[in-house]
Amino acid sequence: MTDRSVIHSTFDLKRTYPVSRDKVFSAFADESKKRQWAYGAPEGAHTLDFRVGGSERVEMPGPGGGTFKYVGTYYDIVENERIVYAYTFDMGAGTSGVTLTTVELADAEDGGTHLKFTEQGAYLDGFDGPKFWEAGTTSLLDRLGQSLA
Amino acid sequence: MTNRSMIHSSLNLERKYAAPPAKVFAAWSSADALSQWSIPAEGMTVRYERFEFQPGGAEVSIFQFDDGTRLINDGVFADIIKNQRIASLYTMRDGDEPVFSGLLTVEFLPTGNGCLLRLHESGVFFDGHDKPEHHKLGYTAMLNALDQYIGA
Repeated sequence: MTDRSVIHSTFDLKRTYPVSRDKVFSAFADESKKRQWAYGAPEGAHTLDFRVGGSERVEMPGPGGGTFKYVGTYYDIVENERIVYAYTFDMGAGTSGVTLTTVELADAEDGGTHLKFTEQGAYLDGFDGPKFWEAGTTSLLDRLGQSLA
Repeated sequence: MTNRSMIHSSLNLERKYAAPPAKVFAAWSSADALSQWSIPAEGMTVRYERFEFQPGGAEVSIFQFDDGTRLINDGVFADIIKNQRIASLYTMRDGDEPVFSGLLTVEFLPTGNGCLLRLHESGVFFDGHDKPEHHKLGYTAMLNALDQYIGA
């Protein structure tokens, strides 16, 4: 019998990347670029339809032996400025979390880009979102930085 | 030219009802019921175009204000546990312009003979079209109306 609970958490992460806004935006908008830095996934495990109302789907082996599933929908896209999307994810035992994400891009000095990544999430039935998801998102943005270098 | 901005905000509300969780949950489970009580402000109507009450199902409604403004609320049920919990994701738009994107969780917890309803909304307010305070007022009004709807 599953113990039902909901934890809510909001966090934001800021980064500065040494490339222009259009290059950072392209990393989110281009299916094969996103597949590489975000998931390191093989083709077939990931699809990205980058438009308002479009979806991103990922299905791949997860930690602990189950299947990690992610389904995201784009709510607002302003080219080179902002991306807003919402997603559910499942770590292999049913829906683990429901999240709303915003990505904001602004010019930094010397042609670079400030990125602000904000996640508002609801984590279900004992999944420790505040601990795992924030750590995971931090690694994600590090990998984005490596892909842009 | 839109002045672009995003405000992130969250609200939490709790309300006790003198009815068991199943009865309170039922009032959230049909478009017919919701269109009767889930009205955020006087003079508004809420009409459902799509209501597929299952995880992954679409939920699309039209909010009509008394000044003629019309917002489309376009979303999905992310998680439903019968008589216990509903989670949804949605975006409200004025034509093509996004007004608000949100995440809603509602928990229905047994308490004595009644139900403790715990509501949380997190979201993004776009470009100054809407304000966090309006949502707090709106949900408070709705949870009051729900009490009357269940008691009726």
